[in-house]
Amino acid sequence: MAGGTGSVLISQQLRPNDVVRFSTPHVALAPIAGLQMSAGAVEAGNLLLVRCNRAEWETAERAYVFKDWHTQYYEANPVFLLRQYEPPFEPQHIQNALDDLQSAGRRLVTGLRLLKPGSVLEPVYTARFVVSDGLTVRELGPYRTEYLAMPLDGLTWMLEDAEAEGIGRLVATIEAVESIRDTAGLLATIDQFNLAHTPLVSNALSVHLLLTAITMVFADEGASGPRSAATMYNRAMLAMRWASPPLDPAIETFYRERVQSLRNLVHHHSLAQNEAELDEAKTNLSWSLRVGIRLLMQAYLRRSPIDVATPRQTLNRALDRFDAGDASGLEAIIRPPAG
Amino acid sequence: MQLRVLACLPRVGTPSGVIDLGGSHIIHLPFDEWLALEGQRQSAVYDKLRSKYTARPPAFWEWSLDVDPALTSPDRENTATLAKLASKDLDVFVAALHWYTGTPPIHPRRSVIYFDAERTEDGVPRVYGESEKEYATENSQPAIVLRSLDAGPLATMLVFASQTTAKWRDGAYEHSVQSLSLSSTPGLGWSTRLLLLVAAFEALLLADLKKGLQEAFAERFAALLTDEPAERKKWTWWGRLGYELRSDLVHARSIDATIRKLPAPPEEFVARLERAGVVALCRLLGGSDVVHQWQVEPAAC
Repeated sequence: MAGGTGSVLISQQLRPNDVVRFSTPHVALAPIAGLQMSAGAVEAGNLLLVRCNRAEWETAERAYVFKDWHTQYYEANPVFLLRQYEPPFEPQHIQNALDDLQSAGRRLVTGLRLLKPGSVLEPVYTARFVVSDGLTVRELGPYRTEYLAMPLDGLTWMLEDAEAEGIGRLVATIEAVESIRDTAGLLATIDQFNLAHTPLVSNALSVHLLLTAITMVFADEGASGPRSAATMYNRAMLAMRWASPPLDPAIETFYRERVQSLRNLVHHHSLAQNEAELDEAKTNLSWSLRVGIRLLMQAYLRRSPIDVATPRQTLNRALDRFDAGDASGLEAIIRPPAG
Repeated sequence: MQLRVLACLPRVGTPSGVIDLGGSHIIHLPFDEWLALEGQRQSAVYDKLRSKYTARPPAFWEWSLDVDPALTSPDRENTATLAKLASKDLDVFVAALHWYTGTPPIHPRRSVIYFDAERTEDGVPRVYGESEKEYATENSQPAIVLRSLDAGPLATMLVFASQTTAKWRDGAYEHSVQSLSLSSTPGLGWSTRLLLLVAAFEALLLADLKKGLQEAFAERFAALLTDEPAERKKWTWWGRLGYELRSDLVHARSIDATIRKLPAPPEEFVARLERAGVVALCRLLGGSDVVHQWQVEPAAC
């Protein structure tokens, strides 16, 4: 990012130090609602995240120059996913750029949600912009201005400098998983996890989605019934214990005594509206899935053609061994490949 | 008094202009009238929007609200009360539009709602959602397109959604409606949408069972869709395959064998099953008299 596009925007007249730093007149921008960072720009793998200044923002949001959002803009401190395109960039490339923002934005938000809790929203729900030689094309979602409103409402996900590398690796892992065969189930699991964190989804449906995802990560393949469920929830708890020991006794109680009855109530839609209980369930299930999905993605990427066990069997056998005091299976899943 | 209310319908296109829904209409507003509602008749900034607005006019749902005349005087509290009164009608309209087109619309609450009382220099009382009035000036890619021939069935659906409001607001149905709506989230693959579809119906159709879920799902789902034996047989087969595919995904079995049995590519199979799901939901809500006239194939969208 360097140089400028030449044209002087109204905001630059108002605030001369804000200059457009894009290196090309063809850029695609997508706000990642809720994402906050202290650095001006961060590279996370192949993604460039930028706290656009007002002049850069107004290349995409020209109409906003007439609104009273200027003071709130810097307060909101929104972060954008930025793609810069070298010429020739023709009108027929615009849709591809918008689609790329959608998929890259979804991967990034998935990575953020898998790393730690916080409020963050995919650009498909807010807005995506392509700016090309002064022409702006926008794709708008139902929560169009949430990228400005969420931070002001305290709904944020703070990216620490040290986390950028990890996020980059997670995004690369998600992209790699998307490109290999037989991952429909895993990708659907990730979707269930993401949908559970979508605004306006009731807590009851969120928990339903998370419980489905838990089954898709920790259940024995092809098995169902009470014994299988107990094993599955025990593994979900073990994943948390392995990732962040020692485990809070309340979480052990949740997985050992309460989750099965909660599952029955949620699946039969007979849940009394106890929002506090649902919130707690959402938190616990999400934590287990953060660990489980990341391990399962690694297990998929490490699968070799001669493996008899499926990635899910590999993960769950490793968790069962961990229950018996042997963490080597889990360590093998996360160990960097030789060479 | 009867107060005219206008709600901007994000990403809804009506090439033929007015859609008469009986007691309400979907209309285009002339640009000058929209300026009057916004209180921007003298605004050069707004005037620049004229060509864009006119070339791709936004759709507004226009209906009457029975209100206390005192509420129409410009006042923040009055406007909030009017918005609350309008929200019930809007929710019914959104449900009807979803069930009729098979596509959940963006709620007008996200855009702008005008209460067309006395027009002053500041326009009329109105409430803005997150997108303010942007959908009114940006309608180049409608997600739902309605034509004149949609008027009758959509009006019937509106009556149906209104009559069954208490039922679909009930917990189990609300859960199902929300699950079906989520499946239209952009970018979702067929596998996720299938999980959402089955999740929408699990509790409604299978609450009394612990075994034989796949067969019960298939038979009950088909029974909701049609009374005609050959059609029912077809939908039982489709339902069975849908549930089997869902179980393959959840229990990490290979999906290859099930996919080979599908009567259409997975994307198309799930899209048609989703459409059938909306019809099944309406039947379950008690609308067999209303929905028997429809085909399960995609309608207006």
